[in-house]
Amino acid sequence: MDAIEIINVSKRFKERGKDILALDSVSLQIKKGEIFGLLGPNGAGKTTLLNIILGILLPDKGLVKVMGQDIHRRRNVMEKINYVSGETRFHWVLTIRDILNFYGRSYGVPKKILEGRINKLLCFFGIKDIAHRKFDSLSTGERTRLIFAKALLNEPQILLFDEPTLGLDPQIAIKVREEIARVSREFGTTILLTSHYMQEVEQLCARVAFINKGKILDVGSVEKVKKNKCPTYEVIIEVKNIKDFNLLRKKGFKIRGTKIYATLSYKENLGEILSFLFRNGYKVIDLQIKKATLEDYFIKSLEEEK
Amino acid sequence: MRWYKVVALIFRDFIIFTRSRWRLVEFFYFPVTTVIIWGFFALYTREFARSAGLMVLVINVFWSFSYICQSTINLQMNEDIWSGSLKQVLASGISEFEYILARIVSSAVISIIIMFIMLVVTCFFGFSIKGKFNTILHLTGITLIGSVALSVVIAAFIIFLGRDYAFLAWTILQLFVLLSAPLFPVDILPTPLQWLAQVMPFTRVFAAVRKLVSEGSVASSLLVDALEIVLVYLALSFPLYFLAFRRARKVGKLARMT
Repeated sequence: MDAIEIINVSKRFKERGKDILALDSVSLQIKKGEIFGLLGPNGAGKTTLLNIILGILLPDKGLVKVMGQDIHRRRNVMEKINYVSGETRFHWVLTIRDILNFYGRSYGVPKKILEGRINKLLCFFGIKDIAHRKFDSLSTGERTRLIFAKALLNEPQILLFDEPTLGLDPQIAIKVREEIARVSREFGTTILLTSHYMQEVEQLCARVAFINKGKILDVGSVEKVKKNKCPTYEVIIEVKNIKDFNLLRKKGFKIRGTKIYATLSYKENLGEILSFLFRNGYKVIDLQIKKATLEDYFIKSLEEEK
Repeated sequence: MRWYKVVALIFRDFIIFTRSRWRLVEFFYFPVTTVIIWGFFALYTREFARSAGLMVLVINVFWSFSYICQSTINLQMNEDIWSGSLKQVLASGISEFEYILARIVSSAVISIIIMFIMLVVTCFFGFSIKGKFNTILHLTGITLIGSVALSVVIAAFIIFLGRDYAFLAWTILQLFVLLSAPLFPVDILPTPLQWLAQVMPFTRVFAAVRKLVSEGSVASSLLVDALEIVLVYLALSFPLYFLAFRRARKVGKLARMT
């Protein structure tokens, strides 16, 4: 049984008289214990999909199953999920301890174990000394740690992260990523993460889905998704001067100034390119080999969509 | 329905209530000072207007009670919207019914406490509860049901129309009170408004209060009529509320609101 099963989900919105297709027959399976990244540009449909999984939004068509149960019919299954968003807020007068107490109770954590679990999480995230402070007085970093503590209160089987590092300082964003990896490692939680930061997804996720204009364009391991559209390596060779543009273009190279850009599937192919250049009298000044990133894939996919 | 979720919300509501100074001012200071002002007015007018001042005083008590009960429910919801925490609350699996029920319970407790204080204050200005306790109890119960029903309708409107309409929480009741002919009989109103007054939730409550002050007793048929109409409001309010939630979930208003 998959942790989350999204079956043929579609959603349309009307905005200023325009009909917008936010999700177009989306189907996904997220396995138990994996970190799954949902990747796409702003407005691609990532948050819409998360809202449907959370029951905040009803799909026009399709079905969402969490731990095998239809989320919109069996609300009890929500107690197995928790949710973290970069925009998560709590009531301004509540203290850290109040917030954890309330969510612990509302997630149905038994009273006997709630106090102990809250204390454990306060220590785990280093916010025990400030547990008496109101939400309003917390710094961004302290808020983030509280949000994570709240997210683990019910020991969720599934954690949904919606742009968890959006608008955060790079230093805090790094810590957030470390926390996500730690949660997955230590608690074995299934994680669905949406982001438009390629590095973040590449660093954290085993599998990814690329979504744009409400459509899933690709699903699979990060490596597989990259290979589908991008060469594995890009080679930039700087030569003294370019003699024969046509010959190089025929070979499939791109030329900018005195730089020749070539793409490779395997590093081993580099020798062929270099010997071709030597044979034709080129003198190599500099050589760079760049591994393709998810960002390259992202840009390529968006270009193709246009 | 899961009671632990309702209890968790009530518990949170009381923490927020006791930590929000403005709420203490709004719900204790204003009603009590208003009663005192009209109390002195009742003392002043008893020489030449007999029970008219007292009538205004007791009507104000019920009016304030209704306002506190209704606005507490709606303001609690508004604060979840304003603080951006409604999505988190609903994502914890709390259903819309559990959500509003918790607000109704905490609001009922708070407003009944304030009602008691206001009634005690009226006793210092010549209003005697002796022999009227049962009627006051019934009228309090009917007003409570009517206010709850209105608050559920207002909650439905805010959910349906969006956060820009949060002001309905503290404005709608005034219109309902006006059309319920609080300080005067319904036939003082122009004819079209008289028709409207007949279907207002508090028209019979205010008529009963006026009778109670002027004659010392109220016919049970008037109380039954008053109860019937607020029960109709209550019966209609919940389907409207569920419909509004479903619609907000469907068109994405709920997701945008939070």
